[in-house]
Amino acid sequence: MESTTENSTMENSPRQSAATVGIDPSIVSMVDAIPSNAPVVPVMRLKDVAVSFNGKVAVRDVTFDVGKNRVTSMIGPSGSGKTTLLRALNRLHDLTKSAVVTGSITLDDVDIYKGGIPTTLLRTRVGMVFQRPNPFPTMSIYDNVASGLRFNGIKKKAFLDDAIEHSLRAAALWDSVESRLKVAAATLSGGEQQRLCIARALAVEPEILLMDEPTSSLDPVSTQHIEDLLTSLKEIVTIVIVTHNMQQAARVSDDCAFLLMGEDRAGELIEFATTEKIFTNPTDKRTLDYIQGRFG
Amino acid sequence: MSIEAAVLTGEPETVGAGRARKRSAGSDVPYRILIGAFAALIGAVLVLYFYSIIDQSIPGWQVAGWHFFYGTNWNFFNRQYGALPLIFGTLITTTLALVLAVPVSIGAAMAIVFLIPRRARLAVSSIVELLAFVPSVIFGVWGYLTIQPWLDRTVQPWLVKVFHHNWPFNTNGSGFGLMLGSMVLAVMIIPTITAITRDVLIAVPAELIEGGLSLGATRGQVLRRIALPTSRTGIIGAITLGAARALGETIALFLLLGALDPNHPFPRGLNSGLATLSTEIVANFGQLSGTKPLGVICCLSLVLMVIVGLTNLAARLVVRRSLQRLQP
Amino acid sequence: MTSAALEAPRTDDERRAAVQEAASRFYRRKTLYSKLFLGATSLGLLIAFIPLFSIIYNVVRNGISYITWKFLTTPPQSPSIFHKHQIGGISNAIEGTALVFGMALLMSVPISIMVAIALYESHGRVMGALRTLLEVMIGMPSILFGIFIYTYVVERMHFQLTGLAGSLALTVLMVPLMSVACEQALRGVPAVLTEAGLALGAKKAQVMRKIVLRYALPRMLTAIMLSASRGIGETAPVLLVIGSTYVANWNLMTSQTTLTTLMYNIIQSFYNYQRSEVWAIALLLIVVVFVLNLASRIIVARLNRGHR
Repeated sequence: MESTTENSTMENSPRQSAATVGIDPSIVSMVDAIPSNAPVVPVMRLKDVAVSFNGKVAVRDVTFDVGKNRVTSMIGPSGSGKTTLLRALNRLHDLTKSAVVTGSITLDDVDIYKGGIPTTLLRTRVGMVFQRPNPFPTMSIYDNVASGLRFNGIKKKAFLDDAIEHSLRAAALWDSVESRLKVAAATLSGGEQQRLCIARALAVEPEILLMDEPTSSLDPVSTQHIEDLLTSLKEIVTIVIVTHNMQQAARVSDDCAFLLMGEDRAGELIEFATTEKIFTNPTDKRTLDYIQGRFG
Repeated sequence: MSIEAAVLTGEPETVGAGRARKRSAGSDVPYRILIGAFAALIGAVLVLYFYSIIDQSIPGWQVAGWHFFYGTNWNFFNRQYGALPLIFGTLITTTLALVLAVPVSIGAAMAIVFLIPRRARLAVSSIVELLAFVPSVIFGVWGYLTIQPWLDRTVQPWLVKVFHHNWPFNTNGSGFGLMLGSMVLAVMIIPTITAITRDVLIAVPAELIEGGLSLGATRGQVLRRIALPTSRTGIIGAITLGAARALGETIALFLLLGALDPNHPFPRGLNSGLATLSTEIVANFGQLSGTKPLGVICCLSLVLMVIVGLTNLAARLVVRRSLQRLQP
Repeated sequence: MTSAALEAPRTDDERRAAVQEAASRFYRRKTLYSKLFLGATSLGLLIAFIPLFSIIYNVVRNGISYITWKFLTTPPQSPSIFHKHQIGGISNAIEGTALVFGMALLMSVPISIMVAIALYESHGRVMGALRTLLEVMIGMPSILFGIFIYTYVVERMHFQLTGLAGSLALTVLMVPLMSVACEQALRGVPAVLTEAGLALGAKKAQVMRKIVLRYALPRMLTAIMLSASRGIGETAPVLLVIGSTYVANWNLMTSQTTLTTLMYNIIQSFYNYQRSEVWAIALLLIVVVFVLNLASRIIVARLNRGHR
């Protein structure tokens, strides 16, 4: 409350408009910190995307652009289809025979579902980090990070060494594991394991990194590390992150998609805008209700 | 989970049942005595089982001595008790059966877990496991009346044409022998290895598979580089359990292995006849008279018991540990 | 490795270009490798199927023509050179199996259930040892059970080779598997149910009888059926202690012939015609085993569908 009165003199401040609609100002203060002036170049475009299982729609009506070198967050209560949508972006639903993805998802103007790009190559360009850290338990730290490159035929040691150092540095893990690269990945702490998984995903140099609630199984300190990491990572990779944590979305993302479960229990996109707009001046009343904590 | 795998791995179907058991003690005395009596009865019978076989083997050891373990002249009828050829026969049939059965079983288990649609998984694996319930004597009959003629008339001439009686296809046998026995034995242990490997593979977390795929790996790469190494210990346990079953197999092998050649106690090729510890027990049981021959039979039984028991214990440890490790 | 970038990438863009180029060059190889690998696993599954189909095909094709009412109900006859086809029937083996296996079930089912309850109710070092012992017994070669009964019952207690000795051998063979499997069925009973019973002040025996056993009954039944389908096909342990007979005399205290021991005996027969008679016995046996097996699997599948 104190901070609100302090800043109340600033005209048109997001905080002020937030205060007028009753949004927790602590969230808005985070939004403040994010500069978002650079022109947005769409790298992945979703148009009327829907995912259904056995004919039952899980999420639909999703249309938005993922901006290059930006962090796009997907928020919404559970059951709103965030994770389902995210997994459609690198065709992970291909594993489920009953899953059908309709609409169009294009990566650099190539439709990823219409045969323009082979699935396994798509996945080297669109990587993924999961809810729980999933390092390969039989592999060392080094082998974990190298695995993606090896899957794609890169075996040259000099290249691997360089790539592994590079991606471990990018994941802010290099300094703590440099001396024990040959140690089993399972010996790392939970937070370190998740950063290892980020490094592993980065090693294949994806253009887009999908993150499915990457901090949901981590303690607050590790969560903080990962969030700090995201801001520096977007220099080299575009990030799409699913989170159930509104504060997190506000802190880390530039754009924000809000999804909600409709009447028929199918998730749908309610609103897509810059994070600043979603959290300060949403267009849709349901977004506002969610931001204000009226459901979820 | 197959009954065999379930029993062997001792997987409790629900946790928490233990809590109810601790409470209330005094009021159930007759009940406790009753169930205690049955437990004691079966415990006593099982102890008797070991005692009886060990006790009856003593006259056998007196006759055979250490010669039993290194002697190569096995002729029960002439009282020559060098059982090394039998121990070798037991090990070689099992080894060859494993060589044939392991790739097939692991392949089948992977196909069941990762290729077959989830709905068909139960049906397909039930069919494979059905093989485990075919009585051993039927495998013997099938080997005797179906596979042996096929080997004799179709496979053998072809082998002769290609390998010209060179080792290991050198001896010109009747079709009965090491190759026939090992093939049928392999068929008998495929369901065991497949069922347990399947359970171990199912326990590989989906996150690991998806993690691999998200790095651009193909399904084959994920199976080879992630699923297989992750479940390695469990698969080794499955193989060991299959080996334990093969080591003790009796009737089918007795019908299929042909006869041990006293002049060449160790098989000289895939077509040689041979005998194993268990087939020799059956072969000589009809001619028992006096305690000494029975004692020697009990020596065979005891050696078999130790080999199989150790194999089983090792397998049990490995399988249990690997399943526990994968399912936190 | 034609790309210079792959040698020494410097910028992020160079790195990305190098990896993507390598990946697309490797794409066909990894896809081919994957197809080969998956093909090999399917081949494994196919090979695993072949023996079962071959066995069923041969057993049915060769056995079905023998199965007549007369074959099932008359005792065997010795064929002679002049009357090669006079082999009679297998009523002795059907009677022997029913008698020996029936008696084995009568003994092993109640014992197994009681042992399962004992394993379920108590824990401690002694019961732990018993459990380990039972588990070790499950993996023991079946012929050793025959040796045990022979050495202890036949030899030491001066029993004759009788049907009863066969029943005993099958009992010690089936009890370990049956009791451990039954205990698992008991453990499937939700703790909530038993705790509710105990909380209401019921005695443990009552909780066991009225709640646990009732709830676990279908699963126990399947455990018993599966163990029994193992037991009925056993040959070696029975063969050692049972002797053989040509008549169906319904007397456990005399030698008996079962379906499996008969198969063992006639497969080595001099007469071809008699030899192929084993297919008919195999058919009978396999039908019994598969019916027990499939029935129990169907029960389990139903139960699982109900619970989840």
